[in-house]
Amino acid sequence: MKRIHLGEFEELVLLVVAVLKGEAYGINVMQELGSQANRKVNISAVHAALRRLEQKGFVQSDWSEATQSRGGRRKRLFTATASGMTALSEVQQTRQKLWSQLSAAHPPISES
Amino acid sequence: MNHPIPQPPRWADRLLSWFCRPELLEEIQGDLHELFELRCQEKGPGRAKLGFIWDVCRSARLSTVRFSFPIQRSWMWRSHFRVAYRQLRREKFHSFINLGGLSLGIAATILMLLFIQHETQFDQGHPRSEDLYRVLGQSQYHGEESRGVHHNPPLAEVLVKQYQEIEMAFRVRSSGSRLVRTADQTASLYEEHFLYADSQMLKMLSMPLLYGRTDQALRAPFSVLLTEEKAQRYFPGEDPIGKVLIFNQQTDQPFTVTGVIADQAAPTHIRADFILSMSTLSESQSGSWNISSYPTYIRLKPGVDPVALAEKMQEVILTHKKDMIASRIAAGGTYGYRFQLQPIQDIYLHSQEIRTYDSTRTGDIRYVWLSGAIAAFVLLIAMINFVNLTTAKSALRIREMGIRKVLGSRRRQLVGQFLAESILLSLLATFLGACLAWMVFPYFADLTHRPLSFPVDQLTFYGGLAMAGLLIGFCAGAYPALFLSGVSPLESLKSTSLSRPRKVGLRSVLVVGQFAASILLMMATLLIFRQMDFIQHKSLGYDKSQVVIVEDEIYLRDKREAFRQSLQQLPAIQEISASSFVPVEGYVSNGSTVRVPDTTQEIREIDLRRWHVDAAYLPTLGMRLLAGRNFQADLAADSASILLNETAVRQLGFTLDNVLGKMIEMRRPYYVIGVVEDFHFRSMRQEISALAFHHTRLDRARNLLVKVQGKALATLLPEMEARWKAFSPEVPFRYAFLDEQFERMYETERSTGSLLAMFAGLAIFIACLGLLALATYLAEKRSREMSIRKVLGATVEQVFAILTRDLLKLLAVALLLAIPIGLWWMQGWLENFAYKINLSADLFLLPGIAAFLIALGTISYQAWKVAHANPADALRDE
Repeated sequence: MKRIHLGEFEELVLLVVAVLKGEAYGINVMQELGSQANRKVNISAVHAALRRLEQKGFVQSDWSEATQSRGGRRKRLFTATASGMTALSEVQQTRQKLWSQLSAAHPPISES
Repeated sequence: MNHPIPQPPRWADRLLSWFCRPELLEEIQGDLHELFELRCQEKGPGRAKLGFIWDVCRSARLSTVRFSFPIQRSWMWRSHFRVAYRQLRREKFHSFINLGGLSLGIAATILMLLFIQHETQFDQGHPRSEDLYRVLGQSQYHGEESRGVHHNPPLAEVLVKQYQEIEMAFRVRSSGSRLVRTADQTASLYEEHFLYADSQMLKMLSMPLLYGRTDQALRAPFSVLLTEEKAQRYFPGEDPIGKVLIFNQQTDQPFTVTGVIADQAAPTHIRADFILSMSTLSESQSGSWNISSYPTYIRLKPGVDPVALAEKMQEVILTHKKDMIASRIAAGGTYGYRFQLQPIQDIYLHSQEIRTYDSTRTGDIRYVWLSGAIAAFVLLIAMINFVNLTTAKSALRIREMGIRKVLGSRRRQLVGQFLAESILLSLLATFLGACLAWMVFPYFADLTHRPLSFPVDQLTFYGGLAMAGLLIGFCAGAYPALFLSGVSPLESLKSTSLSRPRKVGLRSVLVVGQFAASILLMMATLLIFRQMDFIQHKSLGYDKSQVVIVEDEIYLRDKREAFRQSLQQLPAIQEISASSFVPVEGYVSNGSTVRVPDTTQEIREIDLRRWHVDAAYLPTLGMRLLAGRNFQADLAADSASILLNETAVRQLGFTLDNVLGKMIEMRRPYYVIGVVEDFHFRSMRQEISALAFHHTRLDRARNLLVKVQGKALATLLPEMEARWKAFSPEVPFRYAFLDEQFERMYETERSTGSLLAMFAGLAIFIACLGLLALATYLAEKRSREMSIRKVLGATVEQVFAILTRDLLKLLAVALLLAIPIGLWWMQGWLENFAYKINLSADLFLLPGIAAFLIALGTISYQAWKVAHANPADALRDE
């Protein structure tokens, strides 16, 4: 089976979506990226990343209730899917594995 | 809330709604609005609005906009090209004809464009080329205007001093050929293209020096500049500055090399391999207003009107030639000399009417136009083939189109399908055409007598080819695409439309155009060959066969007499004459011109050329005396005698009966002792002019003319060379045949003729390919009709006639169209010649008949096949 690739920015967005637990939509994802990961991006970049993640099946979306702000338009709320969570942990594990080899082979960075 | 709630800019909002895909709009628009509200609170409405506009712009991504671009539909183009490829393979015959015709057309166009590019590049690359001019002098003799380039030596200097508008000027003076050697060699080589020039030439023209300094190179007397090629010849692999060259064995006057002109100098009409400093020539410093042999070039300040300036320059003549004008007017004549300024960029192509000097290259704008027209014709014919064949096949493709439409294809997609087909084909044809052009290029370059180069190493060439391929494909495919994609699916699926070819009108027009163009090219070819034939066989008034010209015999100096006597001993040699004058171009044939008072009207003068010859001249060249006698071998007896040609006798107002013994005053009196029959001493483009022969001292003659008996030439030449070498081992023995030199005068016509013949053949071939394909198609389509006719009793001949009639009718129309255009062109071309053939009907009919026969041959096989087919075969599968 062809492995679905998870890009670096996509990974960050997916993490934020998972952290926001069902409340994630364009703007707060963008804000979280800015405040937590120090990544200032345009809203359209977030939209594009969310669309790609949805196409890959890592997130799913539902419409919220209409609100007063936004001119009465609904939000599209994103949640991470099971395969999205698996993909995240796979990335995490791969990195962990590589990091452990690095620390075994070399002295910790602080001592060098 | 009293304050109105700030709203994002309406237009940006609308823009977003316009381009965004509807399913994404609510999310994006909602988020942008929310962001706007947030920013309003944080940064105020102004910044928020700007941010909103920026976000709208950023949201326009390929993934959000609702339009799709061709680049996203590569699958569609892939499918188009796949179908196109299958189509090509299925219709092999048609594809072959299309591809072959188009490739030939493109190859021809590439070659012609290379030629045109070469012809139009001259004198474009100098610093401020647009401000450089050559000074022309326009004068009138006998009411006939002539323009020349030769001026008085001081003119250049006077012009620069007297007119602020003129920045700089330089003069040149062509100086023929010389024998060249370095100081340490003994044997000389013969070199042509010597030129004296002022040092300003290097500043005004783009002539970068490989060695030497631009500001110094041409200053000192006895300086010489070489081209890179010549420098390689005499000083291989070394810096030649300061080295010495000996010309014409004159060891007391060595020339010092002061510069080498780099090969990449911008192309210019001035042809010089050796440039000598003008200061060498004392005549150029003389300030004389009686000598005129200096072509003069000037550079104007930017923005000066050359016409007005030329008018002002008139003053120069009026001040410096006052006496001459006065005496001319006193004699009852007029003096109509005017200056003109010719832009340097025009010189190469627009100097046909101008008497110019030897060291110039000249092209001809008419041949540039002719080549362009031929290229356009051939390409057009090939493209017409394409359009014709595609629309002819349309009946078959119409059903495909109908089905595609029923299945949901849009018109745009169908157009795309056809364009893909034609572009694929034309790209392929461009590639093949370029290969073909590359293969025949050496022959072509040979035929044009130009140093052309094939731009294989130039990226722009390939870019141009690709663009041309796309463009040709687009143009050729546009009509069939629009026409075929426009049919209604209902009609296309009804069987009736299959049997009726549509738009026969346009196709006929195209066939007529093709054949008219082919017939025109054939007419032009025939005319040029006829005229050349006429020139070659017209009586010249002398016998050019079996005459060897031993060139530059003057360099034998004191050994000339001995050399001549040793030649006399050879039995194969009939006559030997020494003279500088040879009756073909490329040698001295102009002579000096004097004005001789006309006996009938005192005030009229005629231009009389004077040739200095010896007593053997007439018998050597087989010229005939009409009255009187030839010179006697004894010079002293005939020093005051002249011979006139018929034209001179007529122009002077004498007749053959009364001219003998008449006195003609040319500084001293001369007496007419005989009349020579008119002979052509220049090309047939010019009329024979008045000419006088003087008897001359032998040591002034430059060449030896040798009349050879029988077929001894091949063995005689080595013998002559051996004798020459015995007298002068260091001077090269050079000879030429008079008849070959004669042919050389018509090189341009001959090469144009062969080029035209080649391209006319190509054009008719491509046109016939198209006709063949069309005939095949028509024959197939009407096979059922013909079968029914045969069943009902039509004979083979009748069927044959029906099938060929329509196409032959088109041909007749093409012929009618070609005749007036051809007539117009032929008259224009023949005007170049003073002696020419008459236009006769067969010049028009022969190409017409040829085209007729070729076309008939092309279609008759198809017609014959249908006419002889068994009707049952065609009618069976109904």
